[in-house]
Amino acid sequence: MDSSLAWFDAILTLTLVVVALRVLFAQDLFQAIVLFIVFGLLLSLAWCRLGAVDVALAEAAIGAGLTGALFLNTLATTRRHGDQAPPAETIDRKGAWVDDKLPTLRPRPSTPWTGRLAFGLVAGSVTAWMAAVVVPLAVSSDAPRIAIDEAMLRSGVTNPVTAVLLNFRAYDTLLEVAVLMLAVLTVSSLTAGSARVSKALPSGPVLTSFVRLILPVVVMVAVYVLWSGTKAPGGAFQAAALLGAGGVLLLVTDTQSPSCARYLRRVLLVAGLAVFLLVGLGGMLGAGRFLEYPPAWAGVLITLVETVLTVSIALVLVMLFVGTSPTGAEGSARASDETPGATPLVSRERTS
Amino acid sequence: MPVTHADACLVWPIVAPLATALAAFVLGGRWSTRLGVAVVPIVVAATAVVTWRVWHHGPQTYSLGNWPAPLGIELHADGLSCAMLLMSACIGAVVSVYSVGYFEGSTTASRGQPQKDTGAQFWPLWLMLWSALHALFLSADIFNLYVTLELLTLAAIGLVVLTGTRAAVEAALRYLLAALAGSLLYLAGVALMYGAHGTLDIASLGRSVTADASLQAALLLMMVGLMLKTALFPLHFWLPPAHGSAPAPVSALLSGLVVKGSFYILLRLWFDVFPQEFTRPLTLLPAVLGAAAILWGSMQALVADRLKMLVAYSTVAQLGYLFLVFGLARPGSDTGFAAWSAVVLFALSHACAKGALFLAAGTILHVAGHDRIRDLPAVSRRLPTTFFAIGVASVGLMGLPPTAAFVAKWTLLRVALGGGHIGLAVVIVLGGLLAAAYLFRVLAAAFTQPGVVDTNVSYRKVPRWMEYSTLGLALVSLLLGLASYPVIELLRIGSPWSPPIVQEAAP
Repeated sequence: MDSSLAWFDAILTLTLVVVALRVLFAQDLFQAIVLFIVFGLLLSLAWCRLGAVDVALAEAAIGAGLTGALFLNTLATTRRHGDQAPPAETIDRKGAWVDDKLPTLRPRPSTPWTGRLAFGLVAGSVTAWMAAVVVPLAVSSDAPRIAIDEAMLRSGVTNPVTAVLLNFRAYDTLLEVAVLMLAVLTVSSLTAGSARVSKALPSGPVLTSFVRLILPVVVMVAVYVLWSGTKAPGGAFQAAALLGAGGVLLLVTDTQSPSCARYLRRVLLVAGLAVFLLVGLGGMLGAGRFLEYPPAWAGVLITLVETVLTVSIALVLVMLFVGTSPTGAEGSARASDETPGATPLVSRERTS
Repeated sequence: MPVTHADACLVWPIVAPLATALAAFVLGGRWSTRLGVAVVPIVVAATAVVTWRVWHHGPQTYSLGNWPAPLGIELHADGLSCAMLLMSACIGAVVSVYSVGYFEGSTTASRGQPQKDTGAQFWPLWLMLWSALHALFLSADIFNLYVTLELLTLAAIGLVVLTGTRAAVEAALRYLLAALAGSLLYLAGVALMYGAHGTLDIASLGRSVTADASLQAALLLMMVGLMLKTALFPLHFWLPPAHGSAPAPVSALLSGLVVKGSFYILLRLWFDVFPQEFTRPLTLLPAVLGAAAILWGSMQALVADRLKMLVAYSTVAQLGYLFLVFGLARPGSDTGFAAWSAVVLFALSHACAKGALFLAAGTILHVAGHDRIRDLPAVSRRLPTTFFAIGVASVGLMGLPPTAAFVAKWTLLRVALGGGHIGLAVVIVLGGLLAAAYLFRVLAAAFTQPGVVDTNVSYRKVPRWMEYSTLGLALVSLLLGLASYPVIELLRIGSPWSPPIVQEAAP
């Protein structure tokens, strides 16, 4: 191996461990979250070095980006609703959300050091045991592998990861998308239309024009990642993560809030899963099976499913960030005084 | 290649509720209820067709996307899957009927709280949960099982927080953390097995696994993870608050069906994948914990002061019985099959009885606004049907003849005594007595104490369907005992004991 790359790997690994420790021992939660985002980005570099570019993309966009944003969101919410009484304007108009629904988060009394030590010892020994089991597995090359070369020819795509996700094991992916839908349903049943996005960033001409410049690029890169997914690393999840990140960026800065009808929003949320199901059921026509694609059509059908999935998953990620209610009909209507029928994607709250 | 695939019937119990969930979510409002009710006969018919095929043609396998394992994912239905499917269809149908009444008028504001349309949110979540359960019972792939577990857990958590009360949110958060920890432990086991054997298919794993360090690690990780998800004592801490604070139909689903999902996976892995000489040293651990669960859960139920908490702790106790199977059922012996099928029968019986009990508790809460056990006498005069259902379900939970629980406990007792497990036998008997003790607290309150009819308290009217569906489920738990024999014959199909095997000379 190239010796300079070996050095790079060593430094990367060391940095990962150091950053992980800093996250654990950070006194301030905000600092911990920022370090967590750094950790995610470094981890995605590590995935690149391991040759798993698909995983690296997902880690950078979802693990570091969106999860970090969700953490920051949560931190802002808990600080506002923390031990001091919440300022009046953060209470929902009906006075519900704050006192009734969110458990008040108070700083816990810190665990005594003996408890920490015991926990550390248990976790450490389990990790050591796992390492002892995993390392021999990883080094040995005689572990059986599934032969996919012949099947790849009939899969309709040339990127093996896409072939596994959207063809060989499409059923898993179908259920995973249902998991994402469920996450949105659950979040919406919790917040019932009263959640808002606080304007986290101060508005200004620089920021606004930056967002205006970057958004088209984000969309273009997302489309490219989606399109190239059939041949190279990329695909629906990564493209959706990019689009979702763009959506979140749009929400936290002071540009025009994208609005869409409640009904349309629901349709777009389920569209990915619905199209996936329909294509799967279409496979049962004739002599086929559920989720079977005719080899000649496989490429087209996979691209179709991936495109619709991208839109739905991106919306799911934005909705998770917003935590607003797509189902609570009266809930969202209540939160808005806009024209009936069309609610803004989020109702904004001015912190000034 | 045949022109049509008769085994395509395996897909419908999964796809029908999932597709309906999407439609219910998009249309919302009143339509979600209508669609939810409309899909019930379809799902029941689909599970019946699957069972019919398995009964007549043996275990069924279906390659999704026409990619056979190990490349693709296969659905597999044998007797055990069918029994679980039938249980899910039966309880799901009853709970659906009950929920129509329960969530009726949930949109209107009451008690000064801003109301959301709980009913419209209930149906998509419940239909997804139903779909996830069927996907789990039909899966033949250990990674796919992980995905179905996640789907099941998230749907369950979404249902727990439906009420939106502070207690429910706190319970749901605890449930979420425990369930995610369990899932991750299971996933780590899956990764180890895939790394070592290069396949995720249960049947091929069962053929290819060899006893080595990685398999030992995988077994332990999966066992702990699934025990956490099944709330085996002492990992049950999340269950009582979650099951006790959820809306009534949800509690019935959680206690009756959801915990059986992770138990089913453990049962499958233990008897279908891991070699016998490998699991033997570990058999006593789950069995002893199960025995402890029976005693501890019953004690807690004895001192509970709310009916729903009593029923929730009773679930902790009854789940303990399920884990006795690992100590009693030995692969390759006839007594092994007896114990194994008895425990599955017990799971079915418990699902019906416990479901009925939670639904009844929900009706009481709905009508009286509380479920304090000492104040039950006043309520019992108002709800004769519901209290009759409690009585019938209690018979099923105590394990009196002719219920299936009696058949199951009797068989377990016989196997335990035959195998020399005196301690377990004592706990089986003691558990039944304790169950009688805590259930008689409720029955005594309802039937023997002179009811003080408080005219000042206003009671809400209850839709008649809620009471009748509860009673129906309770009667099913009673009648299941009479159908024990066909159920056990069904379980034999495709079980590890299915080819007639020569009984071992000495156990």
